[in-house]
Amino acid sequence: MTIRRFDVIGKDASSVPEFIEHVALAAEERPHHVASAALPVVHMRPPLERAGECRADCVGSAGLSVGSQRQIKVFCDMIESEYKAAQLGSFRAQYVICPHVDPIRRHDDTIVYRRFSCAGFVLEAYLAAGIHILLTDLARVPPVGLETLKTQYARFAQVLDSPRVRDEFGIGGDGPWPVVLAGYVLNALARPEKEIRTTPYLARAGDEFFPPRRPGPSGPGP
Amino acid sequence: MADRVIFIEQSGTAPERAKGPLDDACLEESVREAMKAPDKSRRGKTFHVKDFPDQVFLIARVMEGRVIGSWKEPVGADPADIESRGNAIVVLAHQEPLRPFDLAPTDKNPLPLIEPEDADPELRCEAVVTSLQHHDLGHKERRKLILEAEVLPLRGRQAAELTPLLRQFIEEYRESNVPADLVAVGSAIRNYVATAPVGDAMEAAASLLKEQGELEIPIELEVEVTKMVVRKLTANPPEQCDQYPELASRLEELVDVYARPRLLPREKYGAVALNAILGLVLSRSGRDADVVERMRTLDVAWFQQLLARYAARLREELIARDAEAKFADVASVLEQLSTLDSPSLTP
Repeated sequence: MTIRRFDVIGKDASSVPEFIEHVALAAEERPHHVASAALPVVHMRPPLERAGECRADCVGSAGLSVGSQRQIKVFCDMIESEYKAAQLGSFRAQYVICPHVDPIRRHDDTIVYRRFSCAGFVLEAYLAAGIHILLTDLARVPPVGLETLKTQYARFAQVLDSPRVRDEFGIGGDGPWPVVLAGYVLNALARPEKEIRTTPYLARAGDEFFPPRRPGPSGPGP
Repeated sequence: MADRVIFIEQSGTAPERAKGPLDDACLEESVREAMKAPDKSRRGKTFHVKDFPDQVFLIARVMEGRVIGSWKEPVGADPADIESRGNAIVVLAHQEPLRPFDLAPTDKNPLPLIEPEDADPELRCEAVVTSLQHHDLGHKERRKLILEAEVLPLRGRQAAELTPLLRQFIEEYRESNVPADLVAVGSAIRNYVATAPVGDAMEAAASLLKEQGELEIPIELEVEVTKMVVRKLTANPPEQCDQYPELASRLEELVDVYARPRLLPREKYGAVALNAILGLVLSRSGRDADVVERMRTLDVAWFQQLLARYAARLREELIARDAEAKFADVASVLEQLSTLDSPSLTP
């Protein structure tokens, strides 16, 4: 497959085929990329990495122009130092599950830094390029339960049982929660380019998979 | 195996009696095992030694995530001594099992066994500020605490005590050529500008952006300063026009240097130019007419679009804060900039 700079890379969960566990931005162009091979990415792992590496099981593209790529680069330049600090200090401080982006403010409302989920980082990067990929109003995002979140956040699966850790990541209580899952981003990008740029995608249950699996009477179908 | 494992996160000078023997080779493994042991009653809680009188604890002192000392101690006799915060010691228990990501550090980012924020945030705020006030604090420890201070919910007295310490750190290390120092200076700049009163913050920003002899501020710090000027002035629009003339001059210089077609695509140049322009507008300097005109004729479509988008967002924020009428001059310039995103400019 062909991958362009800042296309969205999707990585499948190891436990559930086609469930998108992680999304990242391709750091460089690859004209002939072999599916499921690793490639350089910019992503919210966490921590945020500008020289990271991720397996690309699938790719979503909005056909970014060179200008849009430069706009995304400026976005990354602006937040890079915040995340380097978190890498040296506490990487958990830069991560959030819900909402997908969370500004941390001081007493006078000044933003000090922003926390992102992996999908949130991609969505905000594209927003900097004027592309509103997905509707993220919490009222419009499908609610998801803890088990789905454990598949999404396999790395955190064990600790998500802790109410305190869930609270820290923005998903207090017992759920379900309106979490923007990684698969939503790829399904949003699986549309004509013009539509991607003009109409934000409304995620539905089943979009956590790519391609989507709509729930049927007997649960999610193929 | 001890009944309980208590970690003492050392933040500053430890009282003499808290200095235990250095660990043997097996200690860290023992601590890990103890932490993995299920103890739901303690999980997720912070507790003090004094709550468990007459028990013998294995106490481990942890610094930067590593166990550097341990000893057994019956705490029933004098728990207050151990808990003493006057000596900048924080006594906390971590009974949670280690999380998978704590146990699987990568080569690139070795992760600490225990993260400071596992502690009670209020206690950590106090401990971090108190520790930073110690003159004999080692450089690496100071740098670590500066970074930690950014993610703590400091307010009131603690915030007031912290801001001069941040400023001091910034002045001391802004010219360092050690990358980790510059990251910490960036963190201190964000924290200082966000926490200090707006007048002090803008004065510091102007001072940091001023060339001092042959010394130049590194571009990554210019990004932080200009970005924080925008964030601070968005939250605190100046009551008077041209309230920060020194800052406006510095921002104008940055626009002059960086907002050039051949430079904007370079690493971080676009970020500095973007924030300098927006900061200049938000400072109500009255010098924005030239900048708007310059941006209109810049002939770099991608940057014009980006600027237009950010200007539109800032204007929306002013409107949301119900401040559009009060700061009509700012809103008007932002509106002009937001029209740079016209279809005729799209390549």
